[in-house]
Amino acid sequence: MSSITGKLTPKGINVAKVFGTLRRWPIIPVAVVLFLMIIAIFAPLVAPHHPLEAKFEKRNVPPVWTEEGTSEYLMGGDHIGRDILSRIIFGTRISLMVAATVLAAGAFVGTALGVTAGYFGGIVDEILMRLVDFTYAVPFILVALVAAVIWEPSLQLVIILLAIFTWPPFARQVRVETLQLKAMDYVAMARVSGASSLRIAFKHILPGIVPTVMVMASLQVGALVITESVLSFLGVGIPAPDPSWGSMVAQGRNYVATAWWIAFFPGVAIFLIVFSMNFLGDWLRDTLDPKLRQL
Amino acid sequence: METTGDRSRETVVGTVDERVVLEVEGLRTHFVTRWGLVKAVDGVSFQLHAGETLGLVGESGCGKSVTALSIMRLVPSPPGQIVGGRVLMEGNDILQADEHEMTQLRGSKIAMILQDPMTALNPVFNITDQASEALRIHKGLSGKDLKEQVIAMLRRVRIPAPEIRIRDYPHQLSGGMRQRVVGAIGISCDPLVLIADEPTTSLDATIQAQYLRLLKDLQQQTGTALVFITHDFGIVAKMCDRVAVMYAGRIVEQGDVRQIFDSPSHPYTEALINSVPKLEEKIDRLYAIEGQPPTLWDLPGGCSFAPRCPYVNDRCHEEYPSLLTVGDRHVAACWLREG
Amino acid sequence: MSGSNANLLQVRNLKKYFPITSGLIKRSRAFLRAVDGVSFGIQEGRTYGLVGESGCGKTTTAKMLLLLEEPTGGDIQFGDLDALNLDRDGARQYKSSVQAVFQDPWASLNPRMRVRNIVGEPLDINSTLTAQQIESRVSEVLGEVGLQAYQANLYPHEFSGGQRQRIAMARALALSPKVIVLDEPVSGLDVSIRAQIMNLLKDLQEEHDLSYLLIAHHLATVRYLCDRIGVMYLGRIVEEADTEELFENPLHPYTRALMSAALPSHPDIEREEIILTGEVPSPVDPPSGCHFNPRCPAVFEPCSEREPVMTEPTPGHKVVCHLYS
Repeated sequence: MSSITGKLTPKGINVAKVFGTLRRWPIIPVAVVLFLMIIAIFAPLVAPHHPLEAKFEKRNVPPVWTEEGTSEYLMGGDHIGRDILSRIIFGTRISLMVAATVLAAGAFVGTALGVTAGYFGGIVDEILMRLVDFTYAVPFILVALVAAVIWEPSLQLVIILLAIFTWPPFARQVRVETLQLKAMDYVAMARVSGASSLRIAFKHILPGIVPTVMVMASLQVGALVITESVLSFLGVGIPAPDPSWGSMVAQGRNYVATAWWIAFFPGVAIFLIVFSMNFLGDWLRDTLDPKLRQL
Repeated sequence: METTGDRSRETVVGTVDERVVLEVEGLRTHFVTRWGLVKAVDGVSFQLHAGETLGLVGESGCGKSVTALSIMRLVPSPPGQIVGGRVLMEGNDILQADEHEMTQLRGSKIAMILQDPMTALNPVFNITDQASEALRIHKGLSGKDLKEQVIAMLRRVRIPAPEIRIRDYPHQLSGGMRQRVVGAIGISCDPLVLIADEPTTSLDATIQAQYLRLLKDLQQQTGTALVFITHDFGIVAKMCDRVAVMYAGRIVEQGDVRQIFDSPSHPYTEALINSVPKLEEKIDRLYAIEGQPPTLWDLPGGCSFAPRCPYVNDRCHEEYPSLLTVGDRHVAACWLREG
Repeated sequence: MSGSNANLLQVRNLKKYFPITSGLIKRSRAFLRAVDGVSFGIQEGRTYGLVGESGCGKTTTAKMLLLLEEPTGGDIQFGDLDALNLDRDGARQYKSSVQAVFQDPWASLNPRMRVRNIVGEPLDINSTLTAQQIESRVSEVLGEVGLQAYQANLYPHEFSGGQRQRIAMARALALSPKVIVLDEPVSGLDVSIRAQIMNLLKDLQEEHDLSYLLIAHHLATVRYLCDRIGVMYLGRIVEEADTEELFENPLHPYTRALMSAALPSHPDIEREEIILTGEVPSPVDPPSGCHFNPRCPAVFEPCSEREPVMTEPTPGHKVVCHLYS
């Protein structure tokens, strides 16, 4: 606890303002995320060019504001002569779609297993938690590389790999929260009234877990986008010529000195989505914190 | 099993010292919350004499804990702030003291015991580390001297085998023992004033009895003045010389403990005493105060107790009653007592 | 109060031992005897109180009666139902007849459910009423506990502590039970609200001829609410008597210590001070002979050697103490 200063003058306190902002939406991150989602949905309408259309004479052309730039390729052209801006716009689709699918699958599986482990305990709990430990112990990148050799790199492969490694954190957190909720008096009361385990799980435990899962999911988006980028960077992610931000950065690494814009702009896009989603996730967690809620 | 004795209460060292060790005048502490301004403490005044025990009584939200925190200058600063009044100790208004001066006062001249012994002690430090903190800071003791003082301290609060216990960690002690260690820390530097904020709420009845007996004995030895914050009139009956009853941030009645029990002069005091079941007699029906505790950010105009008062009249809704004298050093804030 | 003298709910030699495990393989090394042979009966329309300090086993006993914990031994008889051997119909009948209200008004209601669903849940699970019938029953019980029908739409956090306990009572009443287990129902409430709730409990008991099992540590509350009282120490009932008899004539030294430790209701009341030495021992390793002997102010020769048996010095007043055998 901090103590007040020695001055006793009754000041007008603007603390009310501080409390107000806590409840307000973080406007910029929300705007960024909505903006990106709209772009992803309307990509064919928004993008000036086709992402795979390569114009030989536009190879490595710099962005529009430079001397040799052209208004056709606003962010410049890559080493094959494709419009970087258009590729970024279409890449939004891929990044967001991958993130959404993986999170949906991972959260679903993780929550189901976490609640089961937490509620039933005993041997079920042991088995599931060892499964979680096992998954944590496996080195993701290596598995991805091996998988890419056995099966050709593809969008589906990326999604499956990412999903497999996304569910464990959900399961762990959900299990802990299930244990806490299980001990609440109102769960005991439900049992006194004769509620079945299924009923308790769905009506009393799950609703308490949903906020946590939402926060976790939003905080995971950033990590997923980066991981997908890393996979593409290593060549085991979205295969060329599909425009994923990661593969664009990967392709641009050979031209960092001469055509920096090829890697730069996709990098900025990655930064924007990761930063915004992290910010949103933190805000969500603070807002949904039961201690701060008016109970 | 028990007798209604006639002997007047023996206070510490014979009679109550006339020396005033703590005087609170018009203390006001406000909090800004999302629902509005909460006047947690709204004009609280009392005097505490050397060796005296004052009971600060009220239910949750009445402002008794915030009063204690305000005296200690430990009010969390946003959202709270002391906005008026004086707190005089040895002639000085400690509300005007700077932080450095306050740290010197806290623990040495004025100390506080908190309610929850689980969180009052730091789980990662052993008993010696924590018990010796005040001694180290205020008396500059160290080494063997310090260790001996700590053992003496623990012995004083009747912890068995203190030489062994000093190396223990809080989780190795029972709730009652932890509370005694907290008490020992409080009195380690022989403060003038000790504020105890509901220290026995979490203790079992027999442990509570031991603890209260201990507090009384310690007070007799040291002559410390004690402010005992509680919601339990039983504790008041057992421990206190004077009583101040609080409601919605103000003192609504103040007087000698017998005056409060025998002639409660504020309807809230009367209702509170009558709504508690008595151990000594069979009661057919308890008196129950109607209504709900007040919402502090939305207090009614006039007397805050008016919505629940069985004797309410028009004047009560218009003007908050001033503290009127109803006996020798006995005041009550109620229009019924006028004239 | 009904005239029947037979016990509606009879508990016999109830035991609950928790194994203390150690090591990776979790072998059990010792037992924590939380409840060690408790027997009592609750009559129709009456209140039975279980009193004791923390660790005495009263809450565990209550949980066993609610089938939240499985007893290690003993039996629970409700009418002609054996509570520990129930088939599906029997279980439904028992659950409809034995309900509960817990101590913490903030934890016993699901913060994400509306009051209407909280109070209606027992009906939803156990009865064949339609949604509309459940709704009207919910309004009915809310009225009985002093709340208004429109409040069924609100969430728990919109109510005060006392009101939340009323909601908990409404939930307990929904199935028209015969017995309600009250685990410290007013300890978590403000002092001025406690009297309201205690009076409500009395009124509802009279209205519906309810039986209560009251778990409490505050003796004055127990005196006000109970007809018969069992005093528990370390998992056993050490004294049992009708309320007035117990308070006028406490026999067991522990009971006397509890009463002496209770706070007075007036500054001039002097009590014979019986300060017990030491702490409550752990139920894992209870003292030999009478469990109370290390702290007992009246301890004498047989106390540490033999366990005392239950005797009945006055009809209806039972005690487990060598002083009376």
